Amino acid sequence: MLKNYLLIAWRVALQRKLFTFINLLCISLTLLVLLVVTALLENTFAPSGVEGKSHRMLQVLTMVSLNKERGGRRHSPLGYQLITDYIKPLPSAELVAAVSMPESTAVYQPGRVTDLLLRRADAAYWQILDFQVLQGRVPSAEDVANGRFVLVLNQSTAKQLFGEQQAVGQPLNVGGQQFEVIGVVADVLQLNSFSDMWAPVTTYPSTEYQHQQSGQFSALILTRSAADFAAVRQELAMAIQGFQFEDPVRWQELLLWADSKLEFFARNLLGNQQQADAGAMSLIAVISALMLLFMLIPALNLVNLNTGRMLERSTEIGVRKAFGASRRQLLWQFLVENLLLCTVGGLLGLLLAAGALAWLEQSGVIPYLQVNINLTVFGLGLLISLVFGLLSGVIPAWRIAKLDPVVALKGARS
Amino acid sequence: MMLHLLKLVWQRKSRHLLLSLEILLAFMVVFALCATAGHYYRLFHLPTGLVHETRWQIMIEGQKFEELSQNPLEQTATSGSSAAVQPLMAQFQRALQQIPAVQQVAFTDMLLYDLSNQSNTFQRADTAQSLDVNMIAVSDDFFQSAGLPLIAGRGFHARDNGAVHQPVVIDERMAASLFPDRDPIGQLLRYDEANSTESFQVVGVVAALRTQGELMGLAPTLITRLPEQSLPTILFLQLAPGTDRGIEQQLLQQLKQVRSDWRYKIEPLSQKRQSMLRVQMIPLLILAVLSVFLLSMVAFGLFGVLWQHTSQRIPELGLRRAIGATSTDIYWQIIAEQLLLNLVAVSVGLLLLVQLPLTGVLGEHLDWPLFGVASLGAMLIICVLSVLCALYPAWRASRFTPTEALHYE
Repeated sequence: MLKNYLLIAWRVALQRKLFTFINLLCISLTLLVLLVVTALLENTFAPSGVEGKSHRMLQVLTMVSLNKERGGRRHSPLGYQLITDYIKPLPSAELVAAVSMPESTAVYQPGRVTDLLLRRADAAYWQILDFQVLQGRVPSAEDVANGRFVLVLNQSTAKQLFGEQQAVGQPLNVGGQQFEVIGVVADVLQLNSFSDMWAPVTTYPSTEYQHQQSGQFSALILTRSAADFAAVRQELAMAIQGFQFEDPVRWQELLLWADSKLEFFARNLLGNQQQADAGAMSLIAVISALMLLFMLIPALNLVNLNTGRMLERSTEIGVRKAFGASRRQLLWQFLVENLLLCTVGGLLGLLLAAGALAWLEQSGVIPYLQVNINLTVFGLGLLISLVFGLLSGVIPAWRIAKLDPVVALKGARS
Repeated sequence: MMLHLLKLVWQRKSRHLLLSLEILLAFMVVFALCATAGHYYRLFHLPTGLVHETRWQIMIEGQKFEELSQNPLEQTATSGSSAAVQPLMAQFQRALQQIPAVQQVAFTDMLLYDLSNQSNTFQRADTAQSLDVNMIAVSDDFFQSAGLPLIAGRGFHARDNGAVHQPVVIDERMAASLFPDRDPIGQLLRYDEANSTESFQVVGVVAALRTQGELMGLAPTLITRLPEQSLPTILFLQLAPGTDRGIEQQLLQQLKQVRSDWRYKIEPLSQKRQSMLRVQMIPLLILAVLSVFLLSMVAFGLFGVLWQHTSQRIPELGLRRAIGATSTDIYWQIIAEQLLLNLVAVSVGLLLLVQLPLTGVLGEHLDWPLFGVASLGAMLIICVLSVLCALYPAWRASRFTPTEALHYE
């Protein structure tokens, strides 16, 4: 019986190539967009891979200095001293890393100069973030402590600088300093791991960075579990109470916010730099509202396509009824037809999304992007398109099937 | 004719309602994309007040701020004999200008093209109207070395030493919001804090100064004068065109002559700008890629529905041809009907969207000019798209003979 329905569905699909094509395209494009959006959102807010420990990680990227007398405010990245003296000793933190912002640095090779982004990090950085090491190794605690001039490149940079040659072991002049490449890691585009090159923090030309309160650093705090977030925040607030600025005439009070990924983006996008609440809830609300609005279009589109098509097919329904088909049989026919369309469209969408994401990663439109398709979201998207497909395809068919064959044959439109 | 078309549209009202709803939604999405793209395009092309070519920045590290607190005392004691100790800023300036490639030397209290930012709240001395502004302090030569032209008034000079009101230069945005009714030059400002006694006088106006560069949001900006005796933190240099990084050694040598116990970090401004832009562009690139996908989804959806919608009417169009309508008539009918449908959807969409600039929820991110451009752009895209989608089936319909069209299924 099912085979019969499938056969009818197949024939109908072939007979109305245009409609089938458009319907498939709409379903798969919708799923494609949904999958790409969620893959990018997931990579930003809840990444896996390098920053896979994000769910138990807090970060401090901005210090807010306040002037109580004149009401001035300064927002700036942290200084290394602030991190070592105030954030590293927090008892609830398992590990605290300091890493500089990516800085454009000139790399000198015989006959050419390349401008690349360099981060300088301490040893804990390599423990908190799980870089995928392709060749060699990442700096050890010993390298950092002894100030060895060792350098880690990412895959694209290694290829750009050395071509097909083995990068590990090569000497490299970075910003006038002579480094040795000790490792190559996979490309990554995540908040704290985006860069072209990495070097130990101790390779700065001078040790002055150790005495800076504000500078170019951000702090990553790894806790044992997300349950410790509140404790870390409380301890941080206690630690910086009565903080002494080196320039007490200009600044007297310090604000530091230890944020999760979501809170970090919420704070920066919504500009909540001076209050403890980052506004994560508002950000989620805004994103969900936007997603809903965007998904309303394909839903409506599907409904439009299907209802139009069904009205057109009322003659066919009338003929089938006149030859003795029951409403049940008609219902089954349209159910199977829609299911088939949705499944094929869904699989096509999955393929398209995989292709689109692979193309995005390959083309370098977004540098270093590495994302995965979320199969849960795919399932959910497929389910939604199925629901809308059935609602819009089967309900009109059901209503037409109720009509007298004569009326249906004349066309339900009139 | 119009009335007749309206009647045609009305007869299929339930079908058209769904269709216009989809056009309405598509219009809103396209509008959002246009507005975002327009916002960033405008932001990128608005003046930053900064020239990055041949400009270099030197960050000075290792100062002890106790020196600063000694300085004012020293200064008041020796104010009669100014030649006693030359301020450090002047010493640096002299030392650096011995290098022929150095054209201008100035100082600031904040790195340019950097993530840091300073702000404060100021109020008009007479009306007490207050405003949040971004702040930067610069030395007297900054305007020349940065290539920042004053559009009214003057910059800072040595005669400002010991002035009753501290001189400040403001940008046009601040001038427009605080002094819309009068010439800002000569007006007095003070800190918003009640217990503050310092007062400021506007001496000049610049077009804009966005210290973080091209993608920094627009905000009123106030430039204060870095007193000659202050402890230098950031040096801002203008070098001769074509100077390469080989000059760093020479610069360092001269700097060390002034204070060998301080550390200096030398960097071309173009390079700093590059790292800022590369990092800031990533979210925008992601957004752009998403919009391309979204746009294609909207376009294909509309295309499919409109195509089907027009194809269904091929028998009707055949009938019209049979009773004497030319294919041009058919085209016009289809286009006019489609535009009528668009008009309804777009006007409802505009009615909803106009609330955004009216209520000002998005503030300056969506002002009237941007709203105008974005709605026009979105309207154009939707109209062209929907007319194109409807025209192709109409063209097919007009090529059928009336008999074929009447039997079309």
